[in-house]
Amino acid sequence: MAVHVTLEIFSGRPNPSWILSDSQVKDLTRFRETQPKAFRRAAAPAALGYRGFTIREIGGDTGKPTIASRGRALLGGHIAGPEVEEFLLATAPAQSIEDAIRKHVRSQFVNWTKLIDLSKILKPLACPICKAADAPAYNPAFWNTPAIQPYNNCYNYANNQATNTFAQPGRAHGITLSNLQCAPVSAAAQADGLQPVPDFSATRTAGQGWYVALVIWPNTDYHWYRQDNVGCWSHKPGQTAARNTDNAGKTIQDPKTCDRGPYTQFCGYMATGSWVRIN
Amino acid sequence: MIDLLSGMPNPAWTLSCEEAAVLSGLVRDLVPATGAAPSPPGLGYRGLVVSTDCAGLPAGTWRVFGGAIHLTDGVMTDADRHLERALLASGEGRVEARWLAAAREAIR
Repeated sequence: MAVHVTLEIFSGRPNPSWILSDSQVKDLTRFRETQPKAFRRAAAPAALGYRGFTIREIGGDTGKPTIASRGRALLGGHIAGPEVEEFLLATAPAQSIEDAIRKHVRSQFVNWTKLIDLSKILKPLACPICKAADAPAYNPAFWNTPAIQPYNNCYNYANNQATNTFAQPGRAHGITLSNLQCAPVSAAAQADGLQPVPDFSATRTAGQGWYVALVIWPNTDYHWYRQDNVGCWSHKPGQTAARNTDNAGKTIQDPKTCDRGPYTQFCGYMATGSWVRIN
Repeated sequence: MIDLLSGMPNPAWTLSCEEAAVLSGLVRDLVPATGAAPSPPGLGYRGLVVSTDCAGLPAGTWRVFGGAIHLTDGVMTDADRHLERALLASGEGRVEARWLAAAREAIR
């Protein structure tokens, strides 16, 4: 009995197909036994282009696939995830699939986490309600200009003050940051007038400012986010452009849970406003 | 400049044109990049930003990140990130070692 693999991709041309060696069959079997989570359910793939792999036992009793191609439930209801797809692609003889085709196939491997998240969401995520009357509008056009962008950092942006001094917490009040941890950076910001708050759920009327959040890259740097009047958060990483997406490209519902790259420590939320003086 | 930080200023250093001459060999035969160049993330290491008017180096301000060199007139390939690593090496003794280490960790 042999195991026959077909890459389902073409519409006019015959699909590439090959037979697994004995060792590859053993590897695949071991895959199923040791990584059962690699075999999960998925939504149906697109009709044109890469549609998954079909695996059949030739000469077996049923002749039916023992492992499903991506997106289609077959015998046993198993769907192969990207780990299995990568394995199967690698079993194809070198000359049987052009490099450009392999590249296309790889680009279509599904991120299971994202797929599962998206399957639970019927509409785009809405921003949380903004409770701060003074919350600024998200206006990257102002910040992302040659005259402003290089000279204003996350702290400038969070406080909505373009001082062109690459402002530092506490500097306007004689404090020089030397210890980049939550407590000293927060204390320096408080010297400028920022106020610690437990979260961003309380209503802040006109004159009471808006919400910001402080995070730390341990012993390396700090970073600030601010909540805009639409409810989602935005930020300006250093000299780079202001943006309303996190390191994964997603909108920021809450800085505490977004992708913050190396800024792994979430210090907390604070309130800032027109009374705050930074430099 | 290592484009790395958000709140604190990025670490930066200056080389004389004589000191920078060693880099000219890495940029002499630049080839245009094929395919999309990787985009730096928002937070974390975002590559090196070079401003120069030295002979033998591309004029103006350009960014080196992820195997690509973003010049004012196009994107070139930095094969095996040689130029990126050489630029970091030029910072030895000129910026704190932790910044070089953080950048090297990011491109490892």
